[in-house]
Amino acid sequence: MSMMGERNFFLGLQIRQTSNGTMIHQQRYVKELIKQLRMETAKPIDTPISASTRLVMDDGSPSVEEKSYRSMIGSLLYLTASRPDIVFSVGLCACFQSKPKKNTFEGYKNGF
Amino acid sequence: MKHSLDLALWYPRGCNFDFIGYTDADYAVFLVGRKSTLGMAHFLGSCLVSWATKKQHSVAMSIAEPEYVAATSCHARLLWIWQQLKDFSIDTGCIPIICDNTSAINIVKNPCQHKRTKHIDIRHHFLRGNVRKGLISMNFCATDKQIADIFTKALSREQFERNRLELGMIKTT
Repeated sequence: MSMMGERNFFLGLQIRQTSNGTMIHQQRYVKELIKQLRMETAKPIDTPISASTRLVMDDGSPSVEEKSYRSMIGSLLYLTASRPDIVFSVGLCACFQSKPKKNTFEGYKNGF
Repeated sequence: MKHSLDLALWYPRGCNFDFIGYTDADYAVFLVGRKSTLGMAHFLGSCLVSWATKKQHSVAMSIAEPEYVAATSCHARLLWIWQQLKDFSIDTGCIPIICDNTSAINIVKNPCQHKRTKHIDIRHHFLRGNVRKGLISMNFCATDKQIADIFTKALSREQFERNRLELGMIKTT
């Protein structure tokens, strides 16, 4: 085994160690994700999900492609490793994977 | 997410090993099937070590039921971490579970078979045994002090930001 110095990047998690403590984040991953989903120009919001949001299975809006919806959820699930604040909203959106509707999708995209 | 890019989980050095579990449930928040959501967070000192949110399996008749089931799930995970800590010879003593529902706490403390609780399955009652052994204690806290709130419902901006800070998420810059 060889000593490679201080660990600062592990499985997409960026780790920063200081004399006071340790910091874990995934900034690089989020940046890549935003670029990949072409959401650089999206409007930022304060909370991942609004308190008045009510998601239902079929609200009559058009369907969106299942594959991309599932891939987004997968990407965000990985992000929950360092972001416990989005766990609830990602989990909620993951309930609608079988027939994603446009409104759910839009609400979801707002999460960025 | 763009404006919260610089958020990071913070683990301060030299904090104690006071083990604590927070548990919360939201009643029938999921409109499809009306099932409840449970949320939990476990802390070692001020460090967040484990968290979860989950849609429950069964439909509940009152708010005390999902809270009780959430406390049981939280307790199951506590035991797992407790066992690991024991392997490292760290004694945590009696582990408190913080719950914001007094009815759920009373169901744990009072073992009588009540007509409103008799349908709760046996697997959820193993929490009682460990409370009696003194391994776990159930403590009450007000809803606004409940850290696991963030895992069960959509919060307003102020609540969300306060809760996020309590989880130990700070800005890197």
